[in-house]
Formats: sequence, structure tokens, C-alpha cells
Amino acid sequence: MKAVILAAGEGVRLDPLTATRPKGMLPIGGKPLLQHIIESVAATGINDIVLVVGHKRERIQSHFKNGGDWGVNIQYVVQENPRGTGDALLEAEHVVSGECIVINGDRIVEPDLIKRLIERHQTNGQACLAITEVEDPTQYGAVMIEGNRVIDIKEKPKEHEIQSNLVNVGVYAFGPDIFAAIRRTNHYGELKLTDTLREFIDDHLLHAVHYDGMWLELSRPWDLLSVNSGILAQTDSVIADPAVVSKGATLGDPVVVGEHSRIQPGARIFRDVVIGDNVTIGANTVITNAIIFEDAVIEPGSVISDCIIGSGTTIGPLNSIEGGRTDVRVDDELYTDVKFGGLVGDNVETAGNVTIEPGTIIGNNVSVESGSTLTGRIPENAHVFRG
Amino acid sequence: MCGITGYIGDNESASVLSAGLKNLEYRGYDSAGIALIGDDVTVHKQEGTIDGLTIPSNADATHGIGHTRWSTHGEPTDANAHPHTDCSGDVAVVHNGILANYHELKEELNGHIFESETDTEVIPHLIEEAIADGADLRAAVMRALDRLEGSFAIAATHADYEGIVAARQDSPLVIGHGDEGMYLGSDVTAFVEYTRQVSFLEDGDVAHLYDDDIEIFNDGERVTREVQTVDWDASAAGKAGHDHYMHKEIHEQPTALRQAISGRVDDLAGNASLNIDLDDGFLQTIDEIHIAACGTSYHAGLYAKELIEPLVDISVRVDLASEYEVYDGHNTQDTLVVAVTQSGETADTLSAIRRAKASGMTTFAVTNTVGSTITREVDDSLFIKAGPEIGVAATKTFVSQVTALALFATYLGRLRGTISADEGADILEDIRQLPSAVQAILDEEAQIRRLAAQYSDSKAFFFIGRGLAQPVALESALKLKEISYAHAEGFAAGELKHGPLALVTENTPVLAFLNQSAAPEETRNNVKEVESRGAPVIGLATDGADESFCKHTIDIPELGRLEPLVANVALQLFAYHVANEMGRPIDKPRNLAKSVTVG
Repeated sequence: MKAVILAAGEGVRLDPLTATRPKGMLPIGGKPLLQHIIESVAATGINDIVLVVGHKRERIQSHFKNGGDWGVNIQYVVQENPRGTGDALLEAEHVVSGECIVINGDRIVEPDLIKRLIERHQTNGQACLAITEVEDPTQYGAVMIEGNRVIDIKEKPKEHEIQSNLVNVGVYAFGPDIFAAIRRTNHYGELKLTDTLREFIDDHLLHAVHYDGMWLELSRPWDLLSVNSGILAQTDSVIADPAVVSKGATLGDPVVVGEHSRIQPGARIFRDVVIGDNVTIGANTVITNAIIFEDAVIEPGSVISDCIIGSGTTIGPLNSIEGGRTDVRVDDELYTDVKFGGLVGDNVETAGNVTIEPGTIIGNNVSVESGSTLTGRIPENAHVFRG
Repeated sequence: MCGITGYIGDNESASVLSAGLKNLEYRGYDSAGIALIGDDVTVHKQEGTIDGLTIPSNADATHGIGHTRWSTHGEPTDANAHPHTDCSGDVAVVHNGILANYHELKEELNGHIFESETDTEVIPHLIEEAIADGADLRAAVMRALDRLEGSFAIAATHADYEGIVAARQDSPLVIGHGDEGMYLGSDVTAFVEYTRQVSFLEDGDVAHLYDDDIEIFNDGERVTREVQTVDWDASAAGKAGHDHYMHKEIHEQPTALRQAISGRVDDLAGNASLNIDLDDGFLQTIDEIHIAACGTSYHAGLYAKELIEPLVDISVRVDLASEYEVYDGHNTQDTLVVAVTQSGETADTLSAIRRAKASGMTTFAVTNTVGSTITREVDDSLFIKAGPEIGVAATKTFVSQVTALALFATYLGRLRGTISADEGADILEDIRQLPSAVQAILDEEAQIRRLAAQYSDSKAFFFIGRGLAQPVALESALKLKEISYAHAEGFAAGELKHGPLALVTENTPVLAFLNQSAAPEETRNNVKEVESRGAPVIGLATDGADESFCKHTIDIPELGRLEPLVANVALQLFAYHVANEMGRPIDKPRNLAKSVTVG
């Protein structure tokens, strides 16, 4: 059986990080989100993986190549334009031709769930969908069941529409009849897999498989920090072999330091910090709960908390990203009281003594003059003068 | 370049050999063939692609040899394809390289029937004669080798004798030790999906491969060759969803660069840590550096000259390896000769190094290939750690070569006291930022693709730059001409008015390097010269600089001395997309081979 992973989405709510990379390449616990999914699939004994890729797909292909490093064969299928998950799966039809496991490329689940879906599908020959219970289903696809049979799916139900706290996990087992069902689906705009399933259940059995294991989903920038902490909690700290940690630097736990990164004397890196490859952490910098992407430089003396720093970015000396809870607006929705010190995009340069207030989102290629205080959303390529 | 593959073991020989041929495809070829040896010998060979080759079915085959041919002696025809056989059809031979004395040998073998125009075909007939005199296969190959002059690697089989006998003289040959048999290849790529345990044959070696053992002889003595583990994995050799290896390799550059600099940047000390074995005292006192290289590696050498001369206060001479000569009167004691070669097998570069050694000079190689011939011949080597490169047009290895040479320049400057720790730290900071700067260019691929589409039917393309950007102008032009077959030329910008300006028209786009570190003010004047002739100008300009007088600009992140190198990546993408628009076979350009192991 092959596993199809849908990884073509643009992840616009994670902008600016997803302007230059697909969502699946966002690092979690020191490795890309997609790598967690591929490792889960490989752990079930599936060797053939089909990756449906689109937006910035070269990043995915350069990292996973043909899958040899994970003991799997990866085939790539391209969805040129984002036309929904159903359309994405249809793109994979010519290489799947039969039963398959389908996984949304933005969820981390345990291998055991994938195994159970395969077993269930192979026992009864019917399509299966994994469900899990959440407190607030309004952001998900709510699933109504009778016994083990799915009777309805409601995408992002309003408060008054909630009939069930069970939601779609985004992991499925299908037979070959799914492709014809997708082609038949009535839809406007994007063709979502759930649109197909809502029609499919009229004349097919769709089995719900209950799941209460780890389910980590990434849709807004601060999710990256909480998902990262969730993954780090299960693993030991990893300091890459070619990394250079100076004497006099302090590393807490859990912490991941990537290859060929340099931690200068006096730097203090507390918990829940992931440092990518080829990063420089300057002397006397203090970092807590942060993800620092590859090739970044943190100059000496900065304090960095609860935040994400993009690739190739230089944070000048004595910058302050204080962290903590705040209200953030993303994609015209206001999220209140989230723990989010800020997001700094790729190739940003800040000079000395810059203050970044909680919840600030700085676009790619922004340059910031010394002594500035940043708040809210800074568009890409902006030059920030000190007012 | 020709490729050899061989297999003896429990697996089905035909499928292992055809996989080997596919893996060798990247070396460039015009014909291919396979011989399978069971109760008798089955040979299939033909001019054309490997996909078009019918693989012989021979169910009782225990072993076999295969070959991809890149024509030197005789045109690409079915008859000239390897393997070649003797009059009886029992002996089969594949061969890489050139036999200098095949005319004499062919005359001497006048009773034999020759079916091809190749030099190779004398070998099976020599083996046939020795076997008729009572020799076994191995002894017969050794007797034939005694008669051969030139550079070669061969593999031979016989219907009545066990095993494959292979020999190396100046042309690489690698043995793979697998769980299910022994493998033979011109390079590791031939069998890397089956085993990573390899031993490299040395000049004069004759190896006899059995299904679970190998015997190696040199000069009549039994010898052993160390078994090494190579870390190139088979997955790195696939196209991984890209349409071409070249495109994949362009996108691998940030990762390749991180590998190239990993562990080599000591930012606190402001120095490069390179594990150089050459004596410090010698490097402090040398008064000249010669760089010998071919093609893209030559352009990396030219870039290195622009880096080393100002940082190290030493004179650097860069020669095409095929033109490299050492004349009397040269102070050979105080000269370091640096060979730059991706494969470590380039015949012209090897022969330049041999001339340098013969005249008493110390030699140094900058290469991608651990265990390659050049690493065994020079006094010390620096590896660029770029990983396998399959596309015939070099991309990531150029960038990694220049990076390794920039680290070397920093190391020399610090050793000789010509740059301070602070200056060293500044250069290292630029080197360290290379991966993200290159990634920023890759992120702008869509813009570059549009430009390529707009200009792909131009009459010619000219690339102009000064200083550090001049070698990059040459390299960018080479890339475009190699894969698109378009007329592309690189010029020192100041030279335009001394001749090449006559070629410039409104149908010849000019790509101009206006990087901060490459005298942009002066190049701007040259841009105006070509614009007044109506040529569309694509400027490669430092991000943030106002170059609005250019028709188009591609922004290059500011990166000091390494900025032109980053600009090169933009033009790799430009060359790729122009060639793609023109429908060229990008990974296998006509007439070209990856590493040229003939002189």
C-alpha cells in the first residue's frame, strides 16, 4: 500500500515564513514538519510514499530527495496551482492506482494511527477516516457519526452548529473508488477532499477510526512554538556533531542545535529552543522558547523569548524580544491572549538596540535601524527608520 | 566519458548491469552495450540511448560487463560500441581510454578478423592469442597488458573461465564489495545502490573478481587495496522530482555550501580550520601560486586569483591545464601548484600536475572526489564536499570550489600575516552567509524564468563583468552555451570597446555584473555603451542599489567579495530556463561528457 501525503498547500496564515518555503518544511523539534510525517509512515512499514507538492516544492525535493535516508521510496507529483486537497489527491491517481493511505501534510500523528487505519481498511475493505475529540471544533472539520459510521462532516462549524466534538484528523485509508468520487464532486472554487467525502457517504460506508494520541496541527505562527515544545517534550536534547558550543555557554533542556552552528561564550539557551544549521548565537545572548532558522545570526547581548527568527536573518546586538502573551491579528481574525513574542521573517536585518514588542510579525527582507521599536505587522522589504 | 560496469554474483546479472549503465548515463555517451557470460557469451550493443538497448536475456549468466561509449576512435555505430569480442566470440572486453599503439598491434594481428574501427578491438584478439598459447584468462589479460601503451581501464571475460579480470592504467576503476556479489565501475555511481563498500584500483593493478572474492595483482605481486565506505547515498543520485539533474543540483546549493563550510569557520579566531598537511613554513615562504584547471574549474581558479592576490599578497597565475607548462628558470622550490578538478580524474589536469611534480613543485588539489586519482598524486588535497554532481553542466561544484578556495585564501592570509583576525572574521562572515544568499536567489526563480522565456530566442548572449565578476561572466556564458547551444560569450567589461562591441545588437541581450565588489561604476559605463547600440541589458545588481538604467535587474544580496558568486547562481537558473525553453537535453548536452578523462 502506498501513502499519499498532501503537501502542496501554501499555508498563507503562516506568512511570511511560507512566502519562501512550503508549510511542510517549517522546522519542528529540529526537523521539517513533513519529516515527522514521513518517519511516522516509514515506521508502519509502508515503503512507497507519494508526495503531492506544489508551492516552493524544490525545498521539499532538495531535502527528501528520493527518500533513501528514511528507507522509503518517494515519488513526487506536482499540483501546479492550489486547487484543494481533493484535486491534490486526484493528481496522485496515476501513481497510486489502488488502495492508499492519505495524510494531510500539516498534521503530525503517531504511526499507530496509520497502522490501525490500514488494518481497518484491509479487514472491511471500506474507506476509513480518523477522528479525534477536541474542546473547540470551530476551526476543524466536525464529524458526526452513528456507531462507527460517518454520517456528516461540517467544515468549521459556527458555535450554534456544533453537534459533535469529534473532528477529522486528516488521515484516511481509501480504496481505488475514491478517485471517481472526487471527479464526480460538485464544488465551487477549491475541490476539498471533505467535499467529496460529504457526497461519498450518501452511497458508501465511511468508517470512523477513533484516535486519542498525539495530534499536532500547524495553522498560525504561534502554533509553531507550541507544536515545537510538544515535540521537544518527547525527545532528548540534540547537539549536532559539527556544532561548536564554546566553553562558558549554557545549554538548557530540551534544546536542539543544528549542524555547524556556533554558540559563543556566555550565551544562555534555556528550554524549548531549536537552532537550525549554520546559525551563530552571539556572546551573552539569552534565548528561551524560540525557533531560529538556518543561517541566522544573533549578535551579542540580545534577549529572545517566545519567538521565531527566519532564515538568513541577522538580529543586531542588544535587541530585545521580550515575549509573553498578547493579542494578534492574522488573516483578518483577532486571536486574543496568545503566547507569542513575535515572528521575524527571512533575511531581515536589525541594527543594535531594537525592541520587538510581543505579537509583532516582520516580513522578509526588512531592515531596521538602531534603536527602533517594532509592533504590529511590518510588510516585506520595508526599511524601518527610527521615528 | 566512457563508462564501465561489471557484476558477478547471485543476482540477475542483466538487471544489475542495465542499472549500472543507467547510472553511468550522466558521463555522456553515444552508444552502449552489455556482454553476459553463462555457458556462452551473449553480446548486445548499439549506437543510441540505453533505453533503446535490448538487454540480452541469458538465464544462466553468472556474470557480465557493460559499457557506455563516448566516441574517440571511430564514429558512434553499432559495430564500434563495446563490448568487443575476439574471433571465437568467447572473449569480451570493454575499455575506457586510448591505446597509443593500436595501429602496430592491429597490423601484427593480421590473421584476425576486426569488425570495428576502434582501438579497443585489439585487446580481445591479444587475449585470444595468449589463451591459444595455453594461458588462463588472467594470465592472458596480463600478457595483453604488457603490449598496450596509453591510458586505459579494461574489463575482460571469457566463456570458459571464471570471473571478470579488470585492469587500470591512468583511467579510474572502482570495485564494489556487496553482500550479493562483486561490482565493477568507472566510478562509484555505477553500483552505489548495491553497496557502499568500495576499493579503488591503482595504476598497474589487475583485479580478478569472483562472486565472493577478489584477487589484485600489481607488477606480478599479490596486493590488497583498502576497502572504504563511501557516504554518497543512492538517493542523492536520483532526480527527486526535478525535471533535470541540473535543476536539482542548482537547488541543492544552500545545503552543499553548508557542508562545504561545516567545521571550517572559526569565527572567534578569524581563521579557517582546514586540516592542511602542507608545511606551514613552506606556505609562509612561497612566492607564487599556479592554478591549473579546465572548464568550470578554470573559472573557479580565476575567481580564486582575485581572492588570493589581495588577501595574501602573492602572485597567482591561472592556466588552462592543457596549456600548463613549466619552463626552465622558474623557481620551482617556492611555488605551490593548485589543481582544481571536480572529478579528480580530468586527464588534462592530471597531466599538468605530473609536469609540475616532475619539475619539483609542491602540488595541491581542490576536488570533490575522495579517493580520486589526483588525490593520490598530489602532496595534499582540500575537499569541496559538494556531494555527487550528475548534470554535465557543473553548478553546485563551481560554487563549492570557489567557497573552498575562499577558505584557503583566508587560511593563507592569516598564516602569512597579510590579513588580521578581524579581516579574516569579515571574510568568514561573508562565507558563512553564502547559503542564505544563494537561497534568496533560488526564491526568485520565477522572475529569472520569465526573463529567460522573454530572451530565449535571442541571437547571442554576452556577459560582462570586472574583477571578481569577470570569471563569473566567463562561467555564466559557458553554462549557457553548454546546455542551450546558444552563442554565449563572457568578456571583461573593459574589453568590450576593444572588439566585441561589434557583435552587440538589439538582438543580443547583455548580462552585466554590477555588484558592489566588482567595480560597478566602471561597468555602468560599459552598460551605457551597449544600451546605445540597442541591446537589452539585464543587470545583476547589489540589492538596494539603483540600477534603473538597466532594462531589467536581478537583485543580488550584498555579500562583499562573494557577491559575484551569488550572482552566478541567478545565471545558472537563467541558463537552465533558456535551455529548457529551447527544449535542449539539459543533462546530456551533445558532444559533452561530465569528466573528461581523455587528453
